[in-house]
Amino acid sequence: MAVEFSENKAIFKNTVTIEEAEAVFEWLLREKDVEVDMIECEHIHTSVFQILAIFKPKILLPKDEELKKWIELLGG
Amino acid sequence: MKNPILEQFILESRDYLQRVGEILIKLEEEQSKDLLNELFRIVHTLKGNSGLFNFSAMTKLLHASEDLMNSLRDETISYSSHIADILLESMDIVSQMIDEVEAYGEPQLSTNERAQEKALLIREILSEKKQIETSEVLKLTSEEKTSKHYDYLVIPEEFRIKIVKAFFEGKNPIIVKYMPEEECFYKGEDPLFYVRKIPETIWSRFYLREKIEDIATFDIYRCITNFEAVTTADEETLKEHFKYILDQIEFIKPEIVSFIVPHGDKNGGPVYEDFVLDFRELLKSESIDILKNSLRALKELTSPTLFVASCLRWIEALIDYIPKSTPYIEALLRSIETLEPPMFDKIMETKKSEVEEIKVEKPIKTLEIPAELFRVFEEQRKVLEKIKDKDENIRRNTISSIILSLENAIKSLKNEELLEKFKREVKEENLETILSFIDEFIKEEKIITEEAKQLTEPQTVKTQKEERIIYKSEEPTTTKFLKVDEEKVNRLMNLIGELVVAKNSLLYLSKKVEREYGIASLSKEMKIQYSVINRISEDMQDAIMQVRMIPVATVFQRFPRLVRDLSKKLGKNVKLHIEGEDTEADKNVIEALTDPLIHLVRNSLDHGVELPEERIAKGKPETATITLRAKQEADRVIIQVEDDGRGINPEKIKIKAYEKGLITEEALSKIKDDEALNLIFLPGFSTKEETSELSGRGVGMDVVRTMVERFNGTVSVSSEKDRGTTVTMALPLSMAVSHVMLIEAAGRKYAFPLDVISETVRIREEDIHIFKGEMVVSLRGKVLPLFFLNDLIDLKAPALKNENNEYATVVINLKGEMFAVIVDSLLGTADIILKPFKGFLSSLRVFSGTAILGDGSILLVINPKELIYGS
Repeated sequence: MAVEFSENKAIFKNTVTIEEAEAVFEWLLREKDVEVDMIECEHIHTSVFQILAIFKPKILLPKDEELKKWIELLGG
Repeated sequence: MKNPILEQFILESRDYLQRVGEILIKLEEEQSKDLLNELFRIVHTLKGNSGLFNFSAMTKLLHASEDLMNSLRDETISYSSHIADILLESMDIVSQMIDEVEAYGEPQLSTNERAQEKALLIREILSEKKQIETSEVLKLTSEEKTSKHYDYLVIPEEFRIKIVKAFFEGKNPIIVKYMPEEECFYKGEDPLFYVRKIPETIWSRFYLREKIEDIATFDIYRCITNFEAVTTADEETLKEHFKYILDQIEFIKPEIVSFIVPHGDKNGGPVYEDFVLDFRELLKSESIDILKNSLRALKELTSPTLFVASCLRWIEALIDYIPKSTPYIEALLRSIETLEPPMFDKIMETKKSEVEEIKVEKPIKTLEIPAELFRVFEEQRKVLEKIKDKDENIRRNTISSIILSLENAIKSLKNEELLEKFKREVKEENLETILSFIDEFIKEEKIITEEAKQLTEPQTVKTQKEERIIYKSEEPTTTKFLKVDEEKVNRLMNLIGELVVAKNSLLYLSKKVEREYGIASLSKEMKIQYSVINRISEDMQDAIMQVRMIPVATVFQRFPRLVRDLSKKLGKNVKLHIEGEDTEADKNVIEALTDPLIHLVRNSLDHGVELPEERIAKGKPETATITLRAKQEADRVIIQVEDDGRGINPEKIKIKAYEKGLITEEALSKIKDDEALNLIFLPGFSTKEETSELSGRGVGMDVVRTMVERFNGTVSVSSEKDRGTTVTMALPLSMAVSHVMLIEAAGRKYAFPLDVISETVRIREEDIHIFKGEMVVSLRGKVLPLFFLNDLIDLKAPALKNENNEYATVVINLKGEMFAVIVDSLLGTADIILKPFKGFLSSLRVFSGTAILGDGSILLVINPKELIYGS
């Protein structure tokens, strides 16, 4: 699994695909004051990306410099 | 009107409006980007100026016109006769408003209303076109889209700078707009992935194309994200990259200038004028380090949120690409001055060719420009002096920045030794050591500069030549012309006129000294002095005449519009040809020409020029030509109005003149054709029945003659059937100085123009004969009508005789018609500045005007023609 959920934290690793989108969406709908750890993440599918754009959760920025630029644009 | 700014506004606006009219008409003949740009700029300036005063309707109309011109410029609307009409009419309204402002201080209500209506009409046109435009845009394929359809400000400045740099590095950045389909996820597409993999991306962004009202119901499998990126990859590569989804991609090939948009708060910050001036100078040296230093200093003083700071950042980015980037830097410098977005249009035109030229001509740099370096050092020295007593913290910061500046400056010299020395000495960042280094440097540099001057000479020449190429478009258009209110020139002319008259009294005085006091030597000296003053005053007179000379172009320039409008109305094709518009004549003469010329051109248009069908039938070109010609012949200015129309039939003229009783039956048979043509100038020749809406051949011809003659001119006509008609007017170049003969009647001084006097004689009472109640005198075998001036001008006094019982008599010759006028005494000749009557007195035709004499008394100048025929 590229995404691990705990109560108020989700950890994205490697590539997050469209298969994870629903789980991420449900989790964000359910939980408040959450944090997404993307440190080890390399890519997220556009569907997940736009979910993050809508919810604007707090994000720990990825190490991948190129992805980081995109995540910064989310303005979370 | 007291407000000098308003006066200036009126003066300038008239010039601008004149130019706008000219351009609008020229544009009908040839589409020119330059002209459109000029047009836009002028109207923009006009609008800005009008905004200074509370003429909101004027500003509104100008604003609308400006927008329309802008649409013309970016070709969303194409120039047509209809658009030209609208713009010309708008400018007419503005012109009228300016007249009203001058007369009443503000535009009149009705004019304001007209302006509002016109502005509304223009707005309607613009919005109509916009609708058409948007529907057309939809039809465009992605490749056809150009830079204007993109909002460049969404790209942050730092990225726009990078993009512009890429341009200068020879790349062609492309904007990629990616609008994924909603269902793309079902097709296994990952738009973000595609975008991330675009090669050579400089900048990219995403945005959600719709707002999510209720998050809970959002369909996560629907793509609502759009992407944009700027890349330097070539189009082929990009097409390959997006080959499966090309229908969702739009490529825009932008222009470099679209990105150079300084942005920020326009208020506040230090004063930049000096900086701009200095920087322009520095720019010529092309020394990048020095320019950067100069920028850094100002940037530190400017809050980064300011518009100016943005300009400075742009300049800083562009400096690396001098000289290619020089025109852009120039435009940005102008923006700093004006706080307006940079105008690149001008450089766009010249850029292509000139950049090439610069490449070829760029001189090999060997020696740097010590003068600029010198200034850097001196400036930094000043700063150091200033911070001497400042707080330690401030001092340290400033010193570091100064060291950096100096280091860069020295680096540009490429003198390793000096650089080492500098680094060694300033290591401790001690203010005093830096100061002493600077002093030493300045001293040394002075010597180097002198030596270098000689060595660099040939290069300097080359540099300047190159500069001229680059800065051609930048050279301020200030000319050495001085705009002066006519009143001031008139006053000067009057004063000179008085001087001319006053100097005459010196001559009388010297005669008196000799005659009454018998001091011949003093009289002789006075005469010498007189001749000196005489020479100076003549020169002055000549000079002021030159000042008053204006080109006939000032009258001619209104005709393109007149011909355009009238020929359109009449359904005739007419080309106006103007020759010799540089010919100069006195302002009064030029002004006097206006009305007669309008009459003549109208006549040509209405009666001379045939309808296109008729011309074709006659085997003539469909488009008729009316020529306005001016030339100088001796002391006269010749103005001709020539058309290639149907000409005047002299037979018809003769018969009509006879019918009107203007010529006798005998004359009818004898009169030659060319003489017959000139009958049209006779008063009463034309009748109402043949006037048309515009004019009638003959209508106004006597008016034309009267006007021309009033200014001592002549008018004649020549014509050939089906070949055309030419009316020629000849007027004196200047009318300011008149030579007159002073006479006395009933104790007052009067004057006759010298050019009508054929002689002065003394006649005895017994020489006067009376035939049928009219007085005559026989003079050298000729019988002349004789009049008493006192009777003619209603002076209630009998004429005086001299001791020999003789009357002083002036013999007048008016175009061959001679008569004699008895006056009290003859006082001699004089040069005077004749001032025509104004207002109520202007109806007093018997006098052509007044002049002030040396003793301050007023001289009335008699109009001999009116004297006889008027009474």
